[in-house]
Amino acid sequence: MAAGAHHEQSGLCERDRTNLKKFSRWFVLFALAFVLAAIFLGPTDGGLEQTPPWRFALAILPLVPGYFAARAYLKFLREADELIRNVHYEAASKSFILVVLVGIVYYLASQVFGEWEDAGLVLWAIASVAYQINYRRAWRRFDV
Amino acid sequence: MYNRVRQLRTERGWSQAALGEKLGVSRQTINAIEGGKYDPSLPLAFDIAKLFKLSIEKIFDPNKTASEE
Repeated sequence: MAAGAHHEQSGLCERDRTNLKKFSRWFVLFALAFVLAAIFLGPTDGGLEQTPPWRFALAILPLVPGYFAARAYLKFLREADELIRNVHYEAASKSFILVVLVGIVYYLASQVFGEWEDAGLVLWAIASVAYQINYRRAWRRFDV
Repeated sequence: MYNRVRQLRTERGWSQAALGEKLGVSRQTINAIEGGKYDPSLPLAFDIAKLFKLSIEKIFDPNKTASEE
């Protein structure tokens, strides 16, 4: 059972809002770490042996805030009102399926058109947009 | 699944938000349950039954759909 009064429009209670704020903070840090890593990790000239250790550290740096963002999001889902949890599950699963399918097509298309860079960024953008669209569609389906 | 939540709630003069607050869920959840768009979890169905002092079978009927109401 969710705690506290739920907001009339969003259906979120105080605990949900706190969890979402925590998620947002970690997600912003994750995005910053990702951008920093992408900027400072240019293509390396030498082989793996000549790569300085700081590059490995920088490459895995986004994982730290990413882990905490994922944990905060899962905590939000576990503690949210059951309909809201259902809506988010639906949005997450549909966008995941879409990203898997697009990822497969993207891979095959890159074999035809040559290597496409930044597939991760494209898939990330598709996942974000698909999540928002499916979230709104799920809300509409439940007629709330 | 057909249910009598709306009828039982209005008989008591409660708003959807008030019922949601008593059950610890959002107004949207109550609205979706009443509209037959969402079937509550077993713990929530038990909480609803307990609140209205009725058995679950007296509130929810899996053999009828909401449109058959």
